[in-house]
Amino acid sequence: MPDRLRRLLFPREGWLSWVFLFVMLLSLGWSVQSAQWIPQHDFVVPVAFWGSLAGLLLGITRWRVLITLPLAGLAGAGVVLWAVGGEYFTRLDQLARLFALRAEAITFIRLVVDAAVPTQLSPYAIGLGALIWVTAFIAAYAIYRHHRVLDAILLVGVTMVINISATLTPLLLFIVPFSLAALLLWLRNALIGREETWKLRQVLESTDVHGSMLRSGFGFIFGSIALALILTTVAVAAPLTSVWGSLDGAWTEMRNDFSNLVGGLNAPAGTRLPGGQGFGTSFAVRGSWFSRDTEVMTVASKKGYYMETITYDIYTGHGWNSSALGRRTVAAGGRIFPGYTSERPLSKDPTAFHTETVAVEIQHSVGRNVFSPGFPTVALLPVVVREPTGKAMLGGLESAVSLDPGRGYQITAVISDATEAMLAGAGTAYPTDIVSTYLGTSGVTDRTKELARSIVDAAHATDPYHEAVALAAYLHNGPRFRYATTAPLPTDPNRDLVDFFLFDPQGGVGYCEYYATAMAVMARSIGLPARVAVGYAPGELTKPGVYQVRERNAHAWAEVYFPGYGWQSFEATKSIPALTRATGSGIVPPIVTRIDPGSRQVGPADEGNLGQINSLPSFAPVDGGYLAGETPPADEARGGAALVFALVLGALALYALWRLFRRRRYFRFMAPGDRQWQRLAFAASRAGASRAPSETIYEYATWLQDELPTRRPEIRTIADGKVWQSYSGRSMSSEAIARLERALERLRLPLVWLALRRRANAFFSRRTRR
Amino acid sequence: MASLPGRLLTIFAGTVLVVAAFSTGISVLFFLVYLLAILLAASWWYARRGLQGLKAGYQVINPHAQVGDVLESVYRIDNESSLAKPWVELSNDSTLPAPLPGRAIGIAAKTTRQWVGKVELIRRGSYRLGALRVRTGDPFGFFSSEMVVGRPTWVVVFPRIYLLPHWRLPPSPVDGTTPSKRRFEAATPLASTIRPYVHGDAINRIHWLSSVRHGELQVKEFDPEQTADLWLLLDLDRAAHAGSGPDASVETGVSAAASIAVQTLAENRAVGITVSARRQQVLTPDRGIRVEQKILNLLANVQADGSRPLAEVVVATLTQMRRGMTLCIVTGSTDREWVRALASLRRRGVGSMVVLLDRASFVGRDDGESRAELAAVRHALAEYDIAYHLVRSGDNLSTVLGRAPTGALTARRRLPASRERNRA
Repeated sequence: MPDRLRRLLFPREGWLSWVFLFVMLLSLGWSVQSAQWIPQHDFVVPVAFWGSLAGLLLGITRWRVLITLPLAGLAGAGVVLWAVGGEYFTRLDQLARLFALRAEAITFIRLVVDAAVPTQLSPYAIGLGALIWVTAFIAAYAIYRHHRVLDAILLVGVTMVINISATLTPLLLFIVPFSLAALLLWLRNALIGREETWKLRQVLESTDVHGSMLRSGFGFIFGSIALALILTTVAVAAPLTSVWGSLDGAWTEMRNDFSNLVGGLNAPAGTRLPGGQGFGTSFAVRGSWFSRDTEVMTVASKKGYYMETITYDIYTGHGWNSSALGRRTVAAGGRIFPGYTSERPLSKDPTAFHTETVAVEIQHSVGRNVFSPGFPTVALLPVVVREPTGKAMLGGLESAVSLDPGRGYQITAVISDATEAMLAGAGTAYPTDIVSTYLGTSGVTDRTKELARSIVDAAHATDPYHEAVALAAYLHNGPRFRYATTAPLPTDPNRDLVDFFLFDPQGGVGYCEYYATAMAVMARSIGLPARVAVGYAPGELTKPGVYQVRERNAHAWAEVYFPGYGWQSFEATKSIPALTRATGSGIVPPIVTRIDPGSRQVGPADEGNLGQINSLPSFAPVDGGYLAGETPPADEARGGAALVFALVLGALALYALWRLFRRRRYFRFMAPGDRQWQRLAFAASRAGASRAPSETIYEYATWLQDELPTRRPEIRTIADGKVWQSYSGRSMSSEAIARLERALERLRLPLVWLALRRRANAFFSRRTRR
Repeated sequence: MASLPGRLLTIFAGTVLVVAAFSTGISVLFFLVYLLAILLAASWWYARRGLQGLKAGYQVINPHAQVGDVLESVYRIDNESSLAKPWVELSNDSTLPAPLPGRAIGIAAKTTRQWVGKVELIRRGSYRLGALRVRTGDPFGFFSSEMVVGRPTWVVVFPRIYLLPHWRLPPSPVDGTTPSKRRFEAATPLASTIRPYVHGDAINRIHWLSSVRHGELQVKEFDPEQTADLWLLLDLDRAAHAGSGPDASVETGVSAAASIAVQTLAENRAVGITVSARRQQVLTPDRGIRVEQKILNLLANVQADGSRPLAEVVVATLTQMRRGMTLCIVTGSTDREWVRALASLRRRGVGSMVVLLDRASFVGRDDGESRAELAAVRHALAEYDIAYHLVRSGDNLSTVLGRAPTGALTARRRLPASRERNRA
């Protein structure tokens, strides 16, 4: 058989390596599909298959890179377009699919250039397909062209880990087949490498070696994966991360920074993802709303509250951004706003609010969003507070640790009980921070403003509260508006969304984001500080005091600021009942008239009520968190960690002392010549230069002299001493003993260097002495 | 384990993984950290334990062999531990040109494996066979451990020895082998047989004991040729040899010398040798197997690295030659000086013959100059009536040396006459 044909038919790594690689890619593909980045994703696996096959074939052909890479690019483009087109435009023929993809891509680019939010999904699919193709191709190419299995494993592995970390869907099980295939690939590669080495060194391989190595390798792999799975299920974050997390100082900062980085991935910025995978720092209204009945969390509270996590202050014309640039970490049990904040309810009227500690148990991962009713004051878990424009206002609350299903937290919040009368009398003495942040109407059309004014006028509203109520009622009850989870968007990307929703013949249809946005924008246009908040609407009461929140409860709503009473929610969405408040008696003027920004404790709302009033039966605090009534664990953890470190250090010190004592006792009773020689041999053996059994004293000494040429006389002195001691039969003079000790003393440091050098050499070049 | 970039990449990836896992607490990262840690720890433990309970050793069956033979060594390994070893590699470091092949085996718990390692010996010399190196590790190649057992040993590879059944050592011109009117100056003390007395036999040759036993006078018959000593002179002047590797002229010369020595010793003659390598070495004539071993040992390790011209060596050797000896020179030299020096031997009762190597043929040269040089030497040898064998590259020494030497015709023709003379 010609050599070239043989190489093609029987590549060095064999076809089995490709099977293992494909299993790895299959795991990656499944994990990408399960993450549901886009609704249609069946093309991922075929693209991975063809990509890896192309990498294999072009890898074993040994053609030049200038040929293989363009070929791979062409093949990749063809396969990705074919696969994506086939999935997204099933009814079209092949050519029409290409044109359709082209048209969508052009539209997509135009929208992006115009800073609009594109709704076309096929460009995303093409990007995803290209990513999978490149990963699969390079991995296979690395294996079959460059024989670099590790690179392939790392490439696919890193892609997979990023995918799994970036989504909130539990995808741990996908890593198992990946690990299995990767380790089998590694095992096979190690076997091939070893067999080649044996062949090179003329070592004949028995027929049973291959099988026995594979058998033991399988045992290793299956055992390791099983054990790793068990350990992962029992000891992921709780004991380990808390030990690390309890360390103060630079490490904590670094950990938090890293955590924030990954936390950002967990809750991707830009949009709230379909499927309820978390809330980001911005969202664009996309015209469709996906939600499922997945149980997200249970909330133990006296009443069903709106559970808020992020608020947005900047209206973009088609969505909202949170200018929450400031990030501040608050330890578990610490006050979320230890100083002045204009958002805190300041009224001294005890009936205007109540403080409640609610318990939240996570059932389905929601990223790091921390949900709270009303205004949160104390969270019994480490949190990161996002502050809009860096001011002391609440733009969002995130957990500083991961929130895994099965765990939860308690949070204390000030919940408004303000009556209509109280809010109507709140006045318009807005704090400067509020005015500068929540009154922006950039891009809002004049007719929107006019409409808002006309609604207020028509309702004869004379105070901010009734103005806000009139606006909410207009949207909630207006016959023009209809609730739908799929709604039209303005075809002109420059057109304002609220204007479209309020006035366009196609408008008037939408879901909560439409209504909340319209409400907030109209409120701002008449001078009411307003924002949009996202989180979950109250869930279903499953048992007394426990509300089951599902994914379909995800919600966006508008909030309006009232001096002295903070932010008040208004429900404008048609499908959800409007919020009701007690009427109260007459108009109640605000009780607080003086605000002292320098004060630390302002108002009774700061009195955190940490009583265990709403804990769930199965509640288990998140890492770093604790239950109300418990001693804050931070000190305990720190103490525990310190104790663990102290114990470990103590054990190590004791072990070192024991070894030292034992060695000294071993040498103590030797004759002087023997003792120094044994010490030298011991130190040299520590340096990896032990004496071979067949070596004479002088042979060994000569070898050592070659290793330490600057210490030839000392080594010779000690070797002479040993020989003299062994064969002369006479005792050694004190002068000779002192000379031997001096010689050994001069050898100590060089021997340490020798040890370091030899270990470095052995590590970098795998050189061994003999 | 992996190559250096691979190792660095692994360490880097592992570090990033650990930092990421401990910083974020993400389950997947922890799974990978645990998996990596378990795998590395188990591999390290497995490699550490890999050599425990193993006993290994080897023994060379034929430490003395000649080129073309097969060196055989018996290896044995016992796994006394209760842990199977998926792979154990056993090998010797050696200076052999084609080393003894190592063996990679898998060995079950509480079992013994034994095998014979074989390698063909392709070049003469003394070679060191190192101690047995036993190596094992984990299946993934992360870690390995190694031990060295046994002692180094030496293997001596003798030159290739050709059987020379038709080889006839040319007789030395001792008294009695040629017609002469003068009195024999020396008589050999080595009687080979007796015969009845005839008139003219010397009285001192009567064997009285046999005469009494036979009842008539018996005289001793001498056979000085058959008991004559052989002195080999192997010319290892580097100028006298050509070629390289197993096809070099020196290899043929060494083989010729070894074959002649072994054949002559087998005929119960004493053999001595002079080797004019960088250091001239001399073994005085003797008989027996020990001499054979000494000569072969010497020939196993010599190289064409001398610098003394053959004529000089011949002159230096002449003083050691005794009457009745035969000097056999193996050389590729085309310098005729040594032929002249050799010619003086005849007068001293020392026989001589030459194994002449056609040096040019060993490098594939066949030009007029080399032919002329060789012809001149052959002419000189013929001129002094010195028998010689001409050996060219690729010749079978058994055949070439088994033929009657060129220039030995007169000597053979004289032999029967001398015997007749002796009888007379």
